[in-house]
Amino acid sequence: MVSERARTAAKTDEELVERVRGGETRLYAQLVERYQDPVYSMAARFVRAGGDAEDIAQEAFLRAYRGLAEFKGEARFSTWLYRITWNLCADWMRRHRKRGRAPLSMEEAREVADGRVDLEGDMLLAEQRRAVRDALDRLDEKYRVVVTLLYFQKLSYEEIAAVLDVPMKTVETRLYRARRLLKESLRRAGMEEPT
Amino acid sequence: MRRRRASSAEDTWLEERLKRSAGDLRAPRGFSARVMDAVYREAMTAGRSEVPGPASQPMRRLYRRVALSFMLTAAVLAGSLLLPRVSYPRLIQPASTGAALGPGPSAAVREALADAAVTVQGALGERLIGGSEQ
Repeated sequence: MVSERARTAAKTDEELVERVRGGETRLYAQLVERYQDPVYSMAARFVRAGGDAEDIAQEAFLRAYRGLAEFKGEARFSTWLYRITWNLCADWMRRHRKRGRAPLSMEEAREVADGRVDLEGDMLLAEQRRAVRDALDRLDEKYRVVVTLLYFQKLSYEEIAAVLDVPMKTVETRLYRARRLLKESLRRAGMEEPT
Repeated sequence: MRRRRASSAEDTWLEERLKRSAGDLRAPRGFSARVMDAVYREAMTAGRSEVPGPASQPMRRLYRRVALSFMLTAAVLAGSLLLPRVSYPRLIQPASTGAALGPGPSAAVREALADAAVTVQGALGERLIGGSEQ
């Protein structure tokens, strides 16, 4: 006997969206569960403040729910949801113009607490990670966002263009410049490069 | 060729560093339940338990058009009643209240006619006097 959960889990995003629009509000939970990690991680990477990241992720899902009637399905549900999330993050960043970050990010703190990071053994790796993140933090917002969406959120070029509402050529150009700036920054931080 | 290979190696190196620093960010425990609570609250506040589908949009558009045309008609009516009153307040005052409130339109006309009569009479008188002198 197939459970209700198993039946709905197999549905595509489009099917779930249609059914939620048709009145089955509870099925929206399936979409939330499916995308809660990428949406939350996206918010956390841009916002860096635990509570705010959660608020933004929650607001993104709420806005998506409210906007389902207007969602025409031209883009994928996930792309549309990421776009809402990005707009919220951009608003947050505009309001909190000050850049820089806490000495130990929430993510790093959690890893240490969980024992996923061996403080003694992984000190060098942690140092490298920190250098990469510092280099990322120093990037201009428009470059940081494409790097984050591509390498951390694993979005395709097309998806990034749709999320940021820019042509694909712009994504490529920004990515090229971002890579160059990152390499320079890491070189200055003393990280070795391939010869 | 060698330069392109070097650039590609650099990109791979950078990609690896970025991937290593990506970490694993997951939504906090109970996140989806909190979102769904908010969604249900939202649905209840809106007085419905479902999201309106595209079918309800034409009706909403029709209501909006009816409301807009009603408001426009009301504005035109109000304008057509008020504008003349504001522009010509003296002319629109009722004749019966003219005496109490000052000279009404008829009084003004009467006054103008009397003035004209005096002028005409004066002119005629002068002419008659002048004629007899001649």
